[in-house]
Formats: sequence, C-alpha cells, structure tokens
Amino acid sequence: MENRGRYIYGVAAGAKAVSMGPIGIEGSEVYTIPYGGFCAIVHSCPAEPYQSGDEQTVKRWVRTHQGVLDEAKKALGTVIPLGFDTILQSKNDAVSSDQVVKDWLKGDHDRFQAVMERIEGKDEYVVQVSYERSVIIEQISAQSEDIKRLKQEMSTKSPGMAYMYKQKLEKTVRAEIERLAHSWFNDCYGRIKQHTDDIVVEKTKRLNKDRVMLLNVSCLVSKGKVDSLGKELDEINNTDEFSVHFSGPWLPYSFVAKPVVPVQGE
Amino acid sequence: MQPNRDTHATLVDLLDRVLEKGLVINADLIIHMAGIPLLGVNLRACLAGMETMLKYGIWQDWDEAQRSIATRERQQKGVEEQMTALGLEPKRNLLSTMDSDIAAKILSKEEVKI
Repeated sequence: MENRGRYIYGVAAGAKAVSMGPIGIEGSEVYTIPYGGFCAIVHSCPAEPYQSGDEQTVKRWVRTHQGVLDEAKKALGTVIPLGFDTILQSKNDAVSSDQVVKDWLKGDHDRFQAVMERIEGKDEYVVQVSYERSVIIEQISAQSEDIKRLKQEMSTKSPGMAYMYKQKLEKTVRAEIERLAHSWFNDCYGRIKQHTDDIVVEKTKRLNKDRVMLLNVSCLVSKGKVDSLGKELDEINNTDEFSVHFSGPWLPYSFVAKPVVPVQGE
Repeated sequence: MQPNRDTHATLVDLLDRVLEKGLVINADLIIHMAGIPLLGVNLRACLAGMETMLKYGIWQDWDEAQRSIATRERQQKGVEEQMTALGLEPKRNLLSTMDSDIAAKILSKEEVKI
C-alpha cells in the first residue's frame, strides 16, 4: 500500500521535481514536490509521527532533519525550514498524498513569498551572553558603599545580629545584581541588535550554579553583517564579566513562524 | 569571533530549533498530535536526568500534560461514540486544541540547559 504521509522538511523556491537520494530520516528517499513556483522537500512515510523514547534515536532524527535542509539549501537556494515531525496526510483514497502537498503549496503561496523575502540571503545565529555570579559579587562587594558598610557593621555584631546582617547583605547583593543585569541586558541587546536584520529574545536557561545566562537571542543576519556581529561579540567576550556563546549559521527557524504583517493597503 | 556549528557544542541550539521552531502549517491534514511537543520535552527530560527534571518540575508538567491528554481523549471518545450513534460525523478538532494547551504549558516553563 502506498504511504499516506509526507514528512515535510521545508519549502524552497523552484518548479522542478528533484530527487535528492536516500538522505532522509531512516534512509528515506527525499524528493521535491513542486507547485506554483515553490517546492516542498519531502519523504514518503506512513501517516504516523516519528516518536521515540530513546535519546540517541531522536538526536539522530533531528540531525538528519537538519542535514536534509542543509543539502536542500545547497541544491535549491533559500529554504523555509519546518519543525521536526510535520507530516501531511491524505485522508481520502481519491486524493494522492503528493496532491495534498500541492494543495498546501497552493494555499500558502503568498505566505511563502513573504517569508522568502524576509529570509533570503540571511542566516540565523544564536547569541548567548552569560556571567559568573561569584565574579560579579566580588566586584560589587568591592565597589558598593552600602555593602562595605554592612560588612563592616556585621563584623562587630553578636552571632544572632550577624545572622540578620548576613540576610540583609544577601538581599542587597541580589538587588544590586538585578539592577546591573537589567542595564547589562539593555546594553548587550542594543549592541547586538544593530548588526542584525531581525532579532528574537529567547528565554534564558539555567547553566550551572555559578554561571547565569544574561541574554539569549536568535539573530537573523545577512551574510555581509556576520563579521561585524562577530567583532561586537568579541568586545563583549573580552571583558572580565561576560562570556559569549555564538553558534550558526542555522536555517532561520526563529523567523519563519510569526505571521508576516501585510503592507498597508493590500 | 567566529560562529560555531560544531555538532557537540551546539546540539542544544539545534534541538531548540528543530524541535520547537520552524514554519507552522495551518492545514487540517497535518498529523501534529501531541507527539511533537511531547517528543521535545521527553527528550529534554531524558537528557537532563531525573534529578534536574524533578527540581525544575519538567517531569511533573510532562506527566500532567500526558494525563490531561488521556482524559480529553476519553472525553472526546465518549462524545464521538454518542455522535456516531446518532449518525453524525464526529468533529476532528481535538488535536489542535490539545497542542495549544501543551504548547502553553511548555512555553510557560523555564528551560533547563542540557
């Protein structure tokens, strides 16, 4: 029986049906289904999502998904990436699964056009800036008059009072770090943003006990701007306080999902 | 500074993107049952280890999400059976509603570096 599902890796511009070989998930044959100037990069599969509790298997799938899109980009140019496990299916014997994909390409044509324009010639980069909490605490302890005074007073107090002072001290340090983090964030964000075409602020993550992530952004960057972004990040990285994680180029996963605002009057 | 795409150091960035982002299809023919977001959480849970999971509540959320799906599926099944008995076509909008619930749950939670 013919497979009812079509696993979709992404969408590229182009009107040719191309076979890309057995490079898909679990060795599936990847090919393109063209319609109306765009083509979907797909493989044929049963109408069931890929699921596994085994971490290695899922990692392998995810890497393959990315690998297919990398190949597609080389062969077909700009590619709109889809998330893992997006499968279209035919629910009706009279309509072939390839036709279902064509209908989708037809229906979303204008959206693809708008997304393509936004991402053409650009790649996504991840920038994360983090700091060592202990280094910052040392710095502010040496600088803040309030903290110096509290420490001084604490040393002359009884153990019970000293405990109270310790609490107060911790609270003061925390508030100071928060205040600094806020201004650091604004500073870093502004410095990074000027080298991007678009930027999305992601949630920060816990790193380890002492290392705190200050900023986590996905950046859409045209090829010509990558060097200047790298230089800016060098400057941030070469300070005592911060270290920078800079990864990419990725396909613009973070810039294809949000709706494109139509030009006024359309 | 040069961007890095070394597979080991940037695996988390890749997972963050491939499992949670990308173009979303608004077609009713898509198979996008709870498998997608859950797979992501499931994998993260696997990687983070039990202790971290419990600490940050991932396991709890995942478990709750699982259970709420089961409950809804049972409820929906009941409704469908009744409708079928009445000769009506059951509505197939169950999965997308569940997805948005789970997505909200996942989005509302702080992520764990793995």
